Amino acid sequence: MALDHFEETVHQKGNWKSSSEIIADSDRNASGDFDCNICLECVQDPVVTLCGHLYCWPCIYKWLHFQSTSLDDEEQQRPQCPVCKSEVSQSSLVPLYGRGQTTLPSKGKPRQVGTVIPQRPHGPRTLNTRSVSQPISQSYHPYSNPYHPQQHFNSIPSGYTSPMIRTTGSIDNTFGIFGEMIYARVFGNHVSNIHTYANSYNLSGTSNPRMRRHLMQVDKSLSRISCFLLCCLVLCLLLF
Amino acid sequence: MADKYNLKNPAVKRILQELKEMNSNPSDDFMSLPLEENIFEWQFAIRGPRDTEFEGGIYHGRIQLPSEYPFKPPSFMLLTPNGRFETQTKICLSISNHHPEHWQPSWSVRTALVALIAFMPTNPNGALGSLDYKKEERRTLAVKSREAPPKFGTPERQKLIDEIHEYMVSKAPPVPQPSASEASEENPRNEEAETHANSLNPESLTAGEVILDQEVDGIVEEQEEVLANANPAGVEASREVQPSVSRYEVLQKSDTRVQNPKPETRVQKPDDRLFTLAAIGLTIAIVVLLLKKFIKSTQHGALFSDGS
Repeated sequence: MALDHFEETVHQKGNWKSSSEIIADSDRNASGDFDCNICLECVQDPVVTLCGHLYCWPCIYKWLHFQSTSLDDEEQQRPQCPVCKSEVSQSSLVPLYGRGQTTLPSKGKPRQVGTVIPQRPHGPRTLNTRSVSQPISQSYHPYSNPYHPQQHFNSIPSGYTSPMIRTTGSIDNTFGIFGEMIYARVFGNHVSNIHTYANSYNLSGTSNPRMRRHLMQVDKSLSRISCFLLCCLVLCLLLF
Repeated sequence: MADKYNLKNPAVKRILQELKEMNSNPSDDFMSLPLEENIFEWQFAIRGPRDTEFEGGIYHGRIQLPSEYPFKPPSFMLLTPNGRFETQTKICLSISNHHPEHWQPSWSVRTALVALIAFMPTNPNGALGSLDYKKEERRTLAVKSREAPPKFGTPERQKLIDEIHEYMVSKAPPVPQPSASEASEENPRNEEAETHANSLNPESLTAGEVILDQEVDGIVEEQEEVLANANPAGVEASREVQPSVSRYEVLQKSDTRVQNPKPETRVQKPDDRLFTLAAIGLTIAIVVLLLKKFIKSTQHGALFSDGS
């Protein structure tokens, strides 16, 4: 098709538009919004930069590596977006997945026989889950501490001692931190798993975020009530 | 013909795509075509910018695209004497292969030709391959350029040059009359301003098309580059803009966090009620204890009086 257009352009002199070209023009305009900014064709393995510009993953990969190698000789500058020159890195590219996108990479592979191009970078979801998993693992130990005071409380409900006061304070701090974590990130499998474990301990199988908040509030109120009771006991002893 | 070009080569596909776009959207300001035997060799012709000493002139040139195109910039060579760029010599511009660090793969032959037209009336500043003739000489060369195209290269290339020249002669307006030249000479400052405005006007008329938006972006970037080269402070200003953007994002994040505590206050109300009820109960207990203590003290007094 392109070759036919090329022949027509060579031989034609004054008339540059024909019926076939008009049809091609209308088709191209309709789909122009999803053409790669580098190869000017319908995008394959699409990736989007943070500034919103669309590229084929092989095209932008070549440009990033080409620019990095050439710029290393002169100055170590960061790669730029080919359209608006904002900073671009391989990790900041966001892939776009549509229906049937899995078949396109196999079709595109013959094109890239000469060059080995890795798979597209993962989306921000993976990054978020990684960031979420780390603080959870860090907070696992302090979260396990409250179990022992809870058992102690259940075994001796009438006993109130100074160690209990300290454990109460630690419980409050731990629950506060955990609450903040839940509010910051309300998604992810790891969070729900840990909360499910907590729920099973509390004998409530709900996984609704509202129920979670309610449980946290109940725990806080219980700690307050226990402090108040301790104050009252102290007052009674003094008066008595 | 299909065997002639390697369609698996991304550079060839890119060049064919550009050729298709230029044929579907022809411009009155320039025209360019590749050689039939080598698609990486192009011939072009540009019209002199309006309201300048180059107006009415038709300047031919040659473009050589690298094999790594569009990841490397092409080289440009003018063939018609024009008084601004040397002939038969590669031009040194931010869009040519003299400065590969400034090239962007989103630019194309089309954007390069528009930029070349815009660079015509600028001050050369001693750049490589540039000339600084007087206005009268440039105007004479412009009139001369319309009469006949330059002689260059093989017969096939010459045929292509002739075709392009006929097209440009039919499209470009003739050289303005001497009276217009006198008016332009009287107002040199307005002339410079108008050249910039006119260079952008043809693009604004067709700004609706997505393809042309790239040209506008390319030209704006090139002008910014020129300014950046002239003023290092401009580069610093552009750097300062980025941290402010990041700060704005931080503010947005903080705003989202502030919204979270609102549900907490609603949930706290029933807990507060329970807390108040517990407090009331405990207060009653304390009062009862106090009454018991008072009763005990009364009994103690009674025992004392009995003993005495």
